[in-house]
Amino acid sequence: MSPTTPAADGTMTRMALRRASRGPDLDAGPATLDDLLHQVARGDSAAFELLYDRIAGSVFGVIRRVLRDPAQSEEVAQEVLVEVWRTATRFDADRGSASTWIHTMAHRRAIDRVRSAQASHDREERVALRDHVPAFDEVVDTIETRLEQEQVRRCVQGLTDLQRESVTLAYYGGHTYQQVAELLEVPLGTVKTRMRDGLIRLRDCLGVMA
Amino acid sequence: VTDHDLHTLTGAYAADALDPVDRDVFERHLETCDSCRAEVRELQATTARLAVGVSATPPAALRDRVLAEVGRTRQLSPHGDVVRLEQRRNRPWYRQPATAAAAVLLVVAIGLGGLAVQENRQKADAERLAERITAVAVDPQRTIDTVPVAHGGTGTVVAADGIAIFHGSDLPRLRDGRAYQLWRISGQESQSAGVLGRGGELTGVVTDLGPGDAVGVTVEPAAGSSQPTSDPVFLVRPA
Repeated sequence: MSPTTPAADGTMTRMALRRASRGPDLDAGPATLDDLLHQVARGDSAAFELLYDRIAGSVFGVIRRVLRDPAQSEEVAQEVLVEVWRTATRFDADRGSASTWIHTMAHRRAIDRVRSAQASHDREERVALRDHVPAFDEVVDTIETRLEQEQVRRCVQGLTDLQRESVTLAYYGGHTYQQVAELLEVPLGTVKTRMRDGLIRLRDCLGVMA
Repeated sequence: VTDHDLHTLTGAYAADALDPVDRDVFERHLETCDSCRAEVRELQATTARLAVGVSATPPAALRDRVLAEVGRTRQLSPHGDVVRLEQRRNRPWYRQPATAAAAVLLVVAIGLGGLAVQENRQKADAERLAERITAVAVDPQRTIDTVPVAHGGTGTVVAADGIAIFHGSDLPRLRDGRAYQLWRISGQESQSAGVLGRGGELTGVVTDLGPGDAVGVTVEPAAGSSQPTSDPVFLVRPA
């Protein structure tokens, strides 16, 4: 979440008013993000600013978690956020919520960057560069996000070791399931099913509604 | 790979833990598997929560840069316009027809990704292009258009992010001294994207494709022309 911002810079739209009237429940309400995205699809740049303030933190956060390198993460986050604007017209609510659509796109871009970097020769260079980056802190500035983080952490802790490692090595570590199997020294089929039942357990623990 | 195996890949897919080839195979499976699609939707909603769980404060400058770029970026139209013949597009990606051509293209695109690196350009540019070509092949937003070529064979264009990969299949062999040439067509302007060859299986890449630009193929002298000298035998405007 961006450090303040401003719907107050004269861009208070109908959406902003509606959002404000919903009180403190601003963070993950999929309905309101969906509304904003629909506004954005009609070219409403004020709605995009509001959307930005809601999603930039998690988009940037997940990309940085996967890529580690802050400069690259910023670059990919920018690409993704502009892509949200550019392709909002193609968002189809039947296929999932706005949050799912946006974060799936963000994660996919980060992963594609990892995989293409692995294929290229400067991989070692990047790894070396990464070593100079100080460990990052997850600074968040809203209570909603902090609560969300605690809940995610708690649910992830509730998984079995193998489920947790499979899910986090893949999702946060950016490894393919074959690579995860290799890292954990367990059969492919096991990793595949642990990833699936781990996510199913998380879905239930987080009360996810698709 | 059996259907059961594929079904259990929903988790790996939602976590983006499939390599591009597995991803493509699984996405084709999704077209025909309603329960897999439902499960993928739920698991992607779950991974989205994992993303929110690692939120971090982005640099303040990012907001300014994004808003500035948004200010000069045209939004896609909800529906692509059809240039000619029947074209398939704008369906959810998992319903896009899994044509053999698309599968061939995936492989070709990855190959081209490698080739581009060896080209005679700045190494950094070439790598960037290779990355982008590979990205097109695996981009969930890519459009795939397969259209007959005027005098035989079919052409497929896979496009995303300003890059289009053309793949012609079973193109009739041209007489000696003639060749197929690929173009990027922006309004009245045509920019050559290279001579493809005399026929059969031909592949080329169009870069810097702007909104509304078309990908076309004409028959030209074997050495290529600076501007098209005949009507296109193939023309597609990616959505």
